[in-house]
Amino acid sequence: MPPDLRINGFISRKSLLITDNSLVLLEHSEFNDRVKKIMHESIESIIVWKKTPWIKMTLTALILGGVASIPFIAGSGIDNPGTKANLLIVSVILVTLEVIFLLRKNVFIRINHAGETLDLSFSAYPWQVRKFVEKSKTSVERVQRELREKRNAASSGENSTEVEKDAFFVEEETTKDSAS
Amino acid sequence: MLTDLHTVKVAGFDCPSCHERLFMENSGPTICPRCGWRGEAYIMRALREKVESANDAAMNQAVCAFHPTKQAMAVCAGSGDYICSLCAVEMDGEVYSAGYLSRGGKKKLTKTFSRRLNRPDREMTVYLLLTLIFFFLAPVMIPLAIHRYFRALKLRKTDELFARMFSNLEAFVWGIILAVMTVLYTLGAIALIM
Repeated sequence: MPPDLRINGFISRKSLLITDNSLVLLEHSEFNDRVKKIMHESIESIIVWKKTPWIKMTLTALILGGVASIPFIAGSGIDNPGTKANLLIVSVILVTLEVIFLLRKNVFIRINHAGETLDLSFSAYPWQVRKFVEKSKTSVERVQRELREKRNAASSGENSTEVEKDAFFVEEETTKDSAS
Repeated sequence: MLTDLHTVKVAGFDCPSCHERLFMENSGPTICPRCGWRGEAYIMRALREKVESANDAAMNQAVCAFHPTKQAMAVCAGSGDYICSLCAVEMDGEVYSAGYLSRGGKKKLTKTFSRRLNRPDREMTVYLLLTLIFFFLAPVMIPLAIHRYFRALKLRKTDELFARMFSNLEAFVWGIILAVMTVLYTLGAIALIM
């Protein structure tokens, strides 16, 4: 099974893998990869946001669009239908490449875990990010639920009056006047 | 008259843009009311290490090395000390004492959560590329590449992470490439000698 998310930056390359009990970040180098493991039970939140790279998009549209228009313009002055068709195909391929490139968005993922923050920023297609987030969310929630159930079962066996307190959740106590 | 007590759980996170604490009841798309930041936040219920009250030790029971009045419940995998539930920290299936981890166990801590994954497949690729560029290095580089290929195959069986990075398909394709290159370079060498 390939990595769940590949991050190809300008200098560094990274891969994110979701395993049964952890989220693994591989920072690739020449002959070995640095492994960072984030246990599922310690993950507090996953925050995802996207930014549209307007400057990059404009430059890409201008440059690639300009290049794509050259065969199209050149084809209009040629009488041979075969050459004309070939130039049109080249133009269409270049425009398609441009559209594929323009679909990529700047994505930021912040994973808060055990009081620490892991920030990842990269360029990716929205569906790649959605798939990764959905998979990691499902996996983390499953592990945390299982562990919580296991812990609650163990604590209820030992002491039935013990109530688990979750430090991350703010507990607001509201009162109701049932008599009124 | 106060009779009924309700508990409402509200989860929160810091806005990545203005660091304002945002609270939300359901995970999903959210907007910061202060700076207008838009994004998706998935709030999990992280499990905290539960600090329990350790049992007091009876006369004939083993006691914690750090809390002499508390009953020992485990042996630290790092230092071998008897430890109570207040000191026990579970990590990668082993139980360590908090004292050990804060003292000399930091290396162990780093080793557990941060390590390096060897990539013999990349070494193999480099050797093969060198062979393509400098053909006279083939007698040295091709055996080295074959060695790294078999090392990669061996590592696939023991390391789950490496198995995911070097998939079945990659193993198959690289095996074919390696076999073809070996045959071609051997034939070339024979032709040169003849």
